[in-house]
Amino acid sequence: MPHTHDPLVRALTGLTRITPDRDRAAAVRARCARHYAARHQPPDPRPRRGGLIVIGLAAAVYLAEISRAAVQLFRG
Amino acid sequence: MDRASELALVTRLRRGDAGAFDEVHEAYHPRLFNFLARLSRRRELAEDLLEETWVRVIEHAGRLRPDTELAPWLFTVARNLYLSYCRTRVLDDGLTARMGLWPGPVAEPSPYETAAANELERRVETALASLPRACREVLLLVWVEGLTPAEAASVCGIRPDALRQRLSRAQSLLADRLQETSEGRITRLGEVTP
Repeated sequence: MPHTHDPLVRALTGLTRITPDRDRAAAVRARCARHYAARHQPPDPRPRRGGLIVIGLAAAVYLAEISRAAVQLFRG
Repeated sequence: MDRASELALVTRLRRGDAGAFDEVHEAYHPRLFNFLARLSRRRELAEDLLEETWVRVIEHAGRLRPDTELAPWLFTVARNLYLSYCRTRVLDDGLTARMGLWPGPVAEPSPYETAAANELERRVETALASLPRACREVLLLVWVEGLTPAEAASVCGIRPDALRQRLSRAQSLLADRLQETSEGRITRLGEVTP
């Protein structure tokens, strides 16, 4: 590897930094941070309302069927 | 960033710590942009590729190995995105050279031309941008972005001894191109347009 007093190497290491657009960088950072947080959010342990409704309806249908079967059984 | 701090940061990234992502972004966004801008020679493309780089970081953060070295990993993601872009655009240095698109006049200054602080730097930028991609990237990774040869080899997917050979060839080629710019044979940098 050439020594750092190599003028070519010095010229390369001394190149002006090309800076990104600040506004775009901030917008990307904010967007990515939201995306990152959403990906690592723990799952909601509470049962969803929609699921409860479905379970409730299914239970109601099941009980109705059992009741009908019981009535038929007693009537003979 | 020392190795202990880096390992702690990787651990936090893997756990989904939002503050860790912010720290990585702040530390590496300018460096990655600087690399992509000179590698791709197009500012807008560098911005797009960098944004996609961060998306990939988010997608893979949870699967990082605990001993991941952030700089080589991030530069690898950025570089691979650029290579994918080139493949899809069917652009390569050889093609543009054969088509006589490089160098050539440009309608607006390239990102490094506006950044160049003096004539020498302008000549170095012009010569650097005229190199084949494989030569340009090793010079950027080692001398501009400060990666060790081993890290740069990891980014480029080659062995460290192969990286050293490529680096040596790249430096010779750059010296030749600088000589050509001083003789006026390469006068202005042209941007590659699809």
